[in-house]
Amino acid sequence: MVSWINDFSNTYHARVDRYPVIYTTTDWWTTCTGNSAAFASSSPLWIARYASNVGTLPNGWSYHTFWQYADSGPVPGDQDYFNGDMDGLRR
Amino acid sequence: MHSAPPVQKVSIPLTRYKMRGNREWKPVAPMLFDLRALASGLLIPTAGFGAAVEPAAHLEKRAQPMGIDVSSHQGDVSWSTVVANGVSFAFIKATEGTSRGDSTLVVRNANVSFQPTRTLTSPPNILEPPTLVLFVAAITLPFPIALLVQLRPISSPPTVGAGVAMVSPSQAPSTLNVRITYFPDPLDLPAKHPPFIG
Repeated sequence: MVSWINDFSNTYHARVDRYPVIYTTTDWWTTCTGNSAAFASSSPLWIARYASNVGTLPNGWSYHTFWQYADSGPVPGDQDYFNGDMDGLRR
Repeated sequence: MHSAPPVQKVSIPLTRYKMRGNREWKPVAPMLFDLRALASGLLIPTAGFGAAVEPAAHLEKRAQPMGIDVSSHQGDVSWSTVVANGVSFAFIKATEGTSRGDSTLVVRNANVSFQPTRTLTSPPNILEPPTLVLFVAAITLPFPIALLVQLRPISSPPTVGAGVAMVSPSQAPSTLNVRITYFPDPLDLPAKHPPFIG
């Protein structure tokens, strides 16, 4: 799984000069990648955790970029926060 | 499940604001305003607020802009309603596993055009995911490209999908110009496929 993600990320980066965001849960990442830290320095993390805080992040990421904090709310769809301000989001 | 945070309210010096559409530009009595009213554009700051301030910019620069991610489960989205509720960005799922059902959602909501698609080989995985169809999307100005690899929780089918992201859904769909092409097999690049055209 790690090598597949690595292939995808590197190829994608080569085409558009940007790494993909990785959406996952800490549980999934731990189970399916052995809690790999290989992507933390390149791919922004979009963590899914329906709780009052983001909890323990997958290995290597010291902060999240997006947080999916609920699967429903006052507006349609899953609910997300961006960890920063609007200027950061536009980058 | 975590419910949405409570609506933030702040006291605003209203002599510096006017109601949109009020040609008299009269100050209104001080009161508490729902910040989301600012986000919706119902209130805009006048010149006295500060020369560099754009409408709603004061609000948008707060930490943690709120967003949503939608798929075919939500059907058509009323973006005007979403924006009125303070949403600043959105992800729209384009694919999931072998399904292209969400592609039409993106087309409807973001005014996109699709290139022909292609089936990919699934990644090696202990849970034997189905064959994948991956899309990538590029959102032209004024929005940056933002792509994602979506790795689902282990309790769900561990498919990898791709989606598009945009900032300022208030401008969807009329001014969004999104072009989506498929993501070729990473192992085949670049000789066998046309260049990325997003």
